[in-house]
Amino acid sequence: MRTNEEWMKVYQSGDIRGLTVLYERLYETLYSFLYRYTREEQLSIDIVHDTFEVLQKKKHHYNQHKGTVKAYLFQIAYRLLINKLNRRKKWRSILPFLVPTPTPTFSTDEKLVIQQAIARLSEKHRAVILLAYYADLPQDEIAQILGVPIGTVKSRLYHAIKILKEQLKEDFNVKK
Amino acid sequence: MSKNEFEDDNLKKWLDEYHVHIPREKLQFRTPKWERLIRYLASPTQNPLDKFHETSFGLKLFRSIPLTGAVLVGVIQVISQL
Repeated sequence: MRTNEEWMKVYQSGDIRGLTVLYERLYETLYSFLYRYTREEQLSIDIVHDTFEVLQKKKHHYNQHKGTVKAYLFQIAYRLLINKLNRRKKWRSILPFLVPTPTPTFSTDEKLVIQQAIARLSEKHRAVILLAYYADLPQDEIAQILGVPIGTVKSRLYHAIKILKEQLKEDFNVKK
Repeated sequence: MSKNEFEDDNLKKWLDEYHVHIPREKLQFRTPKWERLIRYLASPTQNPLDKFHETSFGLKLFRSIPLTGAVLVGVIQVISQL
């Protein structure tokens, strides 16, 4: 079975099957990360599409020696996401009532508790937790995606776990 | 692996409970730019006059503005005819 990097090579050589396989393999993980970060379905879908569009345009920029395809794709998605959110914040500060108000979705019971706990984390801490736990990425790749040193990733991860534990402390006791 | 930081802890149990529904059908088709723009324009926004409705002072002010305007227009007309 070929790896993502091998399929990327196939795609770089001009075979569209490479992109199809990469999309099939990675879109769910990517969507899950974006959704957990924003809790907005449509925004997450749009960014998944935009990410693969950028990948098509920049397929020759990818270098296997610099990192995995997954990390490269997440890096593109994270930058698109941050740009979109910053643009939205800017519009909101200029025309507060004209900017659509996003409706974050929550579920019930335990899921609600963990969703709220993650949503309450700062953006930097949230990104690290989601990339480390749910996207299952190693710390050096997270550093590459976020554009920060690996030491910063370690520190953010430590603090994010600490904050989450504090937030869920009461629920831990209830569950026991 | 990054997950090592989460092991031997109840935190892992909590984190595992956060599942995401993947809208596979929507993800299969790319939304055109114009459709995104229409969706953006059609999405609900905050009412800029909400502040006036929320407080009794705001409501009084909101009601008195047209009245004051009408009086002012009347005064201007009277002055211009003199």
